[in-house]
Amino acid sequence: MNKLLTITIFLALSSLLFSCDNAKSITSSYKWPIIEGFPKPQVPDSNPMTVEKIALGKTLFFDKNLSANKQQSCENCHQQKYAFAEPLTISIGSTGEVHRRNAPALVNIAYNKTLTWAHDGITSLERQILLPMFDESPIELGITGHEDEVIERFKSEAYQQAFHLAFPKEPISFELIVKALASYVRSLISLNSPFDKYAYLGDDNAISAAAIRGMNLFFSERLECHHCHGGFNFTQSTTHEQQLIDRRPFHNTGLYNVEVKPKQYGYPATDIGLAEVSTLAKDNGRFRAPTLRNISHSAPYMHDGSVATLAEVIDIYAAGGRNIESGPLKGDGRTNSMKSQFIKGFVLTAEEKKDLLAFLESLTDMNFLTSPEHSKVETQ
Amino acid sequence: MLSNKSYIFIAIFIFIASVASYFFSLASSDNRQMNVQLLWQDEKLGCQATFNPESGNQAWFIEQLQFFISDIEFYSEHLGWQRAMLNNTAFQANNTVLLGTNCRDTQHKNGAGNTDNWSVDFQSTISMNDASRIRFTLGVPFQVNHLNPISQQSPLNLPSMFWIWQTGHKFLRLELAANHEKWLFHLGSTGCKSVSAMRAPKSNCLYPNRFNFELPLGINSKNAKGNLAINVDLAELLKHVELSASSSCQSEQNNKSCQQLFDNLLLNNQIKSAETEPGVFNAVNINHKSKGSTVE
Repeated sequence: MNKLLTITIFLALSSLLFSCDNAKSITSSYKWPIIEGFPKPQVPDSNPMTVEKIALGKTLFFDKNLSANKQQSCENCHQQKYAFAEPLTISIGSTGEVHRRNAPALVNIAYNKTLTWAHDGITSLERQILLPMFDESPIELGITGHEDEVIERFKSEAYQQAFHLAFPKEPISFELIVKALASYVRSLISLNSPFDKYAYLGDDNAISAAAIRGMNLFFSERLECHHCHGGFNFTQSTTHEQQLIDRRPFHNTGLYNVEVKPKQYGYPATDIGLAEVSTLAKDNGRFRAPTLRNISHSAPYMHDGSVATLAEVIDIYAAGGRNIESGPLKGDGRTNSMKSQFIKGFVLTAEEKKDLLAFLESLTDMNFLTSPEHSKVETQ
Repeated sequence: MLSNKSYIFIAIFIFIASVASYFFSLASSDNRQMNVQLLWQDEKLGCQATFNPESGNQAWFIEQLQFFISDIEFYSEHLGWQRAMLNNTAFQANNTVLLGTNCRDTQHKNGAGNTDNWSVDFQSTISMNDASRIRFTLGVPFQVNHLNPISQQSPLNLPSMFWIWQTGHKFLRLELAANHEKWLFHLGSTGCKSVSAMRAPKSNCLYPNRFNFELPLGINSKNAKGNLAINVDLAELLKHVELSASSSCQSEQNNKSCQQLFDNLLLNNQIKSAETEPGVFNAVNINHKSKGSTVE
C-alpha cells in the first residue's frame, strides 16, 4: 500500500511539470553592474557568469603565458586605458605578424550581437576567443602546435586553485580557459558615463549645454549618426535578454572605392568586410558599427585604424565618405555604390562640430577606464 | 494526519488538475491569426523579387520593410466595434504588432531571432467570424511611443525601429535598393517638443503621422477558423513617388516625397466602402485569391 502511495504521489508531482514548461533551466546569481531596469546581456547556458570565472579570466587575460612564445597576453592589444583597445593602427601578434585590422575596444561586448569587425556568424565570445588563441593567419597568441606546452603553464598551484574555484572537479583545459576569458570580458560593462546619468538617471546637469546640443545633433536626421550607432550601446548590433528579434547590421561607410579590377570598384581586396564571409557582392565594404562608448579613448578609428581622430571621422561622414586622392588606395569612397544610404553628408559649423565632440566625450566612463576591478592582477 | 486513501485522492486531484491545465494551455495557444502579405500590384513581393516602379526604368528590391500596427478593432452588426487584444509575443506588445521583414537578416533563420513576421496573433476572445469591417492604426500609440525603449518589451525595444525618446519609434521603415541607387522612407512623429532628444514630449507631437485605416471584410469568403488576411500593396504606397537617394523621406513635412507618401497613405485613411477600391492596405480572406495571390 505504501509503495502504491509513493508511486501515486510521485506521478502526481511529476505531472506538475506539464504546467511549467516555460521554466528557465539555467539561472545565475551574478549581479551585473548595470543601471536598474537595464536588460541583462544574453549569456550561453553552457557558461553562466560567476565571480570565480571572472577572476580566473582576468588573471588569464593579463598573462603572457597564454601566447606560445610568452611575448603577449590578451592585454597587449586590449588595454584598459584605451577602452581595452590599443593606439596602434593595426595590431601586431606575438610573433610580430601584422594583423590587417584595428583591435576593437572591449566595451559592453556582452551585448554584441556579432563579434569581430565583419562576421555575421560569430555570435558568442566562446567562439570568438578561439581566433586570437589559435588562428594561424595571422598568428596572434600562436597556441596552435604548442597546445601541450601552453596548457602545462596553467597547472601551477595558484592556477589549480583558481580553476578549482571556477570549475570544480573539471580538469584544466583550453575549453575552461576560453570560458573563463569569456566571462571576464563579458564583465567589462560600461554604463556609468555622464551621458548615462543624463539619459537614464534623469540628471539634467550631468552633461554640459554643449554636449546636449551635440547630442541633439547626433540624434538628428540631418546627421543620421544614430541609424548605425543607435540604442543604449550606440551600435545597432546590440542584443540582450529582452531583445527577441535578431538583427545583425553591417554598413559600408564609403571609406574606400578602389579600382580593384578595370572599371570595378570597391573596398581594397585585403579587406572587403562582410562579403568575405557571405561571398555576396552587395556586402562589399560592410562592417559592424562599433559602440561609441568611451570612443574618445579608443583611437585610432575604423576597421583598419585608418582614421586618427574623432574630428577626422566627423569630417569623413560630413563629406559623405572619404576621397583618397593618391596612392594604392586611391578612390572616391563618397561614390561607392554599396555605401549605406545614411552616409549622405552634412554641413556642420565649427561650433556644431565642437558640440558633437563634446557629446562623444560625454560617453566616457572614467571608472571603466581606471577601475582596479578590471585591472591587471599583480600577483599570481 | 490524513489517511493513505486521502493522500491518494489528493494526488489524483493534483494529477488531473495538472493534465487539465496542460491541455488548457495548449488550447489557449491556438489563437486566431490575421495574415499579412506584401504585394506589388498583382504579384506577391518578397526579398528575392524585384519590382519596377512607374518612374524610372530600373528594377528595385526591398532591403527592409517593417511597420507597426496598433489599436486593431473589428466591427460586427450585433457587437459594434470591438477592440482586438493581441497576445504578447516577440513581435507583439502593448496591443501593437511589428510586421514585415528585414531582408538582410532573413538568412539567419536558425530558430530564435527570426526577423520576419507577417501575422497578427489575437487572443482567443476575439470573434472575427461575424466581423464585416476592420480598423487599425499604422503607428505606435503616443502613450507608448516615447517611453524608454530599453525597458519596453519586444518588439518595442528594437533599436532599429526607434529614433529617439523625443520622436519615438519609426512607425514604418521601408528601405529599397536598385543596382546603383537607394531610397528610404521612415514614417514617424515629427515636431515633438521636449528639452532634448533624450527627453520624451509631454503632449502629442505637432505631426503625429499616425494613419488610421478602416477596411471592409469579405462577407462570403470566411473560412472555418475565421482567419483573415491583409494585403499591403507597395505600388499604391509608392504611386507618383520618385525613387532616388535624394528623394528619400524621413517624415519631414516640407519634403516633396514625404508629401506624396502621406497623400498616398491618406487616400486610404478615408473609410473604404468596397473591397474593389485599391489602396495600400486591403483586407481579403485567407482563402480569397485576391489579385491572383494566396497567403502562405
